[in-house]
Amino acid sequence: MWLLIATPLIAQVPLPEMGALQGSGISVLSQSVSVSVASINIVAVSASSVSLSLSTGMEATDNSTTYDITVNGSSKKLTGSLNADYSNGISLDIELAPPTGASAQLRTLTTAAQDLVSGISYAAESNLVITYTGRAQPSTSPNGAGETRTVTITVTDS
Amino acid sequence: MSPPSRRQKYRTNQPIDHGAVQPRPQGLSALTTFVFGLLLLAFQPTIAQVPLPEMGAIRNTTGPQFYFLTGGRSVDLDIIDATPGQEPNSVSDASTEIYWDASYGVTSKITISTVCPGQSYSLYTELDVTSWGSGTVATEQPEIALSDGMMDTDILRDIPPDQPGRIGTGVLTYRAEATVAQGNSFENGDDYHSITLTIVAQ
Repeated sequence: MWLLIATPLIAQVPLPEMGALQGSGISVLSQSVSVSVASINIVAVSASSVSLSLSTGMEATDNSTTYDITVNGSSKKLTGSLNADYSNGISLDIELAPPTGASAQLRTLTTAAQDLVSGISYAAESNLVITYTGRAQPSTSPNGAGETRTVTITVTDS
Repeated sequence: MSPPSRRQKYRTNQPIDHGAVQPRPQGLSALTTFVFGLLLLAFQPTIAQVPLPEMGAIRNTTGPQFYFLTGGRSVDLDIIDATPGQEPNSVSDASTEIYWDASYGVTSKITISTVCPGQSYSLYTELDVTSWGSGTVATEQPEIALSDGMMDTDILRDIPPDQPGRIGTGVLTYRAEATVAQGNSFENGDDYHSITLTIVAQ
């Protein structure tokens, strides 16, 4: 005697994988984007030259120039120097208005770099005043057309 | 020669005639078949059993289409300079263009999100549709800020369900920005975003 086993007429299909999309279209796109930021330390001055005449006295001051600064890191400073010394008896002082949170020092410029502003961090400020003071000793002889020197201001790590 | 009698068949000293037809033990055969059938049903693989569709019920649909028309690879945004006295200059990339066919049968939209653990800088994006002239109809959204772990945010809305309006292309522009207060990669490292764009029913 044979035993017949009847089963319903059905289609057997495999279960879909986890996360499989419905239908045949794609509905999600992926993309990678990276952002990098360089260490930026820049300063610029508003005027390329300053003239100080001591004909009316032994001292003259100019505060007509300014500087702009952008620093996106911590613990930076500004240094200043001359390309060559003035004649004996003549000197040039400089004082910079500091950015927020920094401190400034009055310096008599020489050919050696000296700290002018210290403690600069994460600053983006403009129109900060530069004050130049020229001095001559009473015994100093007139120097004709004058003496021109180049002042270099540098942003550097503290 | 007549077949051996039943009594003769089970005598051990009788020779076995291999040419004769031996009747089966009837009860044992039926039981074997039944057990085998049960085993066959028991060890079927784990599968979903769904009823066959009725005649004419199967429809051929292509589903939504969504892909990179250009670009789509990694985008690198490098902030390198600034105007003295100002915040660093932002940089942009517009090399990615996407294509969509929002065949959902209802109004659709495109959303965007990102994952960027330890994000330090700002990243923005905007989708500018480039296929208006071919009949695309949708509503562009303003530039969106991408921040780590954000919810899916609409970047394009009101994509109609029917052709030709449901089909379109657009340029995806990324813009990176970093204030001085956000520092730099020497101190904080770079940001790495995993961006996800999704087209869904609105």
